[in-house]
Amino acid sequence: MSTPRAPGPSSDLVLVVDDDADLLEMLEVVLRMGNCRVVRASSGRAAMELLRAEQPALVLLDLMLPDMRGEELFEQLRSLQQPPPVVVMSAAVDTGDRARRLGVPYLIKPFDVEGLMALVRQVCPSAVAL
Amino acid sequence: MDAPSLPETLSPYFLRQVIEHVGHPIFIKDRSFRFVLVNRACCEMLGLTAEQMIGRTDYDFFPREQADFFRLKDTEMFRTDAKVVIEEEPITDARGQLHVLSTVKVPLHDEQGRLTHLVGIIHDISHLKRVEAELRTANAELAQAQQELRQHAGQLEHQLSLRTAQLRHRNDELMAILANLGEGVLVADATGALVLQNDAAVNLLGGQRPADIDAWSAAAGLRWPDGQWVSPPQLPLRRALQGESVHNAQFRMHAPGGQGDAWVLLSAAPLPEGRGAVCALRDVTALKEAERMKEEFLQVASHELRTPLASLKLMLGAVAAQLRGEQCEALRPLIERGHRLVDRMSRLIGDILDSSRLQLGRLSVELRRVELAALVREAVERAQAASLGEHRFRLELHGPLWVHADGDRLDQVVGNLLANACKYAPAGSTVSVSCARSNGMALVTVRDEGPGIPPELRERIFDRFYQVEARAGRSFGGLGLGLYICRQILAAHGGRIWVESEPGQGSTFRFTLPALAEEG
Repeated sequence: MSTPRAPGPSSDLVLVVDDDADLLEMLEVVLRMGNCRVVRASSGRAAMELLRAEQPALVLLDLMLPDMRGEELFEQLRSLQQPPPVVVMSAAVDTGDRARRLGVPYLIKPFDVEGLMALVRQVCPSAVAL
Repeated sequence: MDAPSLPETLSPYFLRQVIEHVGHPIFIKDRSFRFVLVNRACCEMLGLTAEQMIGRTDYDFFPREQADFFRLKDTEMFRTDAKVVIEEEPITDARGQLHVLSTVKVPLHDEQGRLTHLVGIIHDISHLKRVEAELRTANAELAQAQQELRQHAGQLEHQLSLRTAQLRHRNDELMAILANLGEGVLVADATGALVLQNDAAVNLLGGQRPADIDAWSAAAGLRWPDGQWVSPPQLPLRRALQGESVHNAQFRMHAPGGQGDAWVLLSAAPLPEGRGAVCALRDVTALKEAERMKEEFLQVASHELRTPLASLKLMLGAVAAQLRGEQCEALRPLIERGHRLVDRMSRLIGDILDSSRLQLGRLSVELRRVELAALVREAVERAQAASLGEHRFRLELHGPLWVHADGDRLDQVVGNLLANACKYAPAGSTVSVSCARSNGMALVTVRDEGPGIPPELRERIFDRFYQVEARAGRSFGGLGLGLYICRQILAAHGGRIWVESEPGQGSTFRFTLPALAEEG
């Protein structure tokens, strides 16, 4: 990669990838309240773009993106030098099955703040419960 | 030895003996028509004695008309000096009995050749006439019987032709129906040759009319839904020829236009007396496409409906986190309620989606080892939190109780039963939940103190879209899908669910599913 990157992951940075603007905003609000910094992407491409500059401690990944399936973005994340941990979130009926195939935790929409923060705090030491 | 000889002149005595013993009545009259001799047979026939008759005439014994007739014939004989034959003459004897006689009157001459007497020889043909009459009657009866028989035969023939016409008419009707039926119909004889293919069946093959079952299958490109070729013994018509019945089995085949696949439902059944088999084909391609579009729409719709709910739920969480002091006291119940509404909405969306997938047979279960007692405990804890103290919960769990199940789906079942119990039972009542092993099965019971379910509805409540309240004229909300989904989920696990209830006595829902062997 030609773009210079920070030497290690930012332990309080969460990348949220979802095509729904309201949800992106609410996730940002909640995560900030939980003491995290947030970067948002509303497509798979935008997410990969952001990942050239940022090294988040966690990616919250919607399985249904406008430009690709969540699984495809997941594969691209895997190919990064230091793949960030991923939590899948979706309203699809088969969310559980799909997340299990990827081997990652999942949140079924609508999920509550407690469940979200419990997962975030596993990878962001500075995060707090609301 | 000398040959026996007759006396040269027979004595009158000898001749009289002979005449006396002849079986036929014989009489002799002189020219004055007086009887001069009557034999025994004649006396017996007329019921008179010889003494009564000798020297008398017919007028002394017979009715006048009859005597006139005899006299006429006697006179004729004396006049013509020739034999007179009376073929048939009825006479009534002295006893009043009727005889039919056939009489021959022959002239008698003396030695000088003078005609002096007549001799009458009578054949009593009464018996003959009676037999004749009987024969005539019998003949008449026979003729009548023959005529009746002819009539019957005629009627039968008429009925037969009528029936034949009816059958032909019926057959024409059936053939017309078959020809115009939307479903394809194939009929095979016992050898597998196709003896009937209606228009719809021919159209399904793009106009081809294969000669037998195997050729048909090859022309159709018949495959199982997963794309595997159907082996000849597995062809529905072949199975029907073996006596099996096949009902609405789904297959793929070449689309008639040659583009892609068509989906067909095949039903086949043997014909009576081993005369072959019949098969009905229904093209469900359009239906499958509509189902696929519906499924796709529901997937998208549920995703679209749930996404704002996700924002809403996070928003409630964020607001709750910001509440402090008095505000918190006042607003927390409202926020809790908001969470419940969001969850309910989400469940309803899920139910619609599940119900649609169940209809298509696409509800998938992922079986894993699941500890049922813990699963029930967690579900009850969630229900308890959601009920906000409106209901008491009594738990009786005999765990660990391992089952092979889809944990999420089982959680859905238990959650649904608990939500129903809270929905229908009055506030302040108790919901009792138990979980135990029973005869190798895991048994979960959810009992409420609600209004109960009348006997006639205890099965119907498991029907798709059935709502108890729709009958009671009350509204409890919901889509009438929950119990339907529960039953389908349990069926997919090899389990079952039922309800025991009396109106006014509450309801007890129980479900079972196979338990795994107990571990030490």
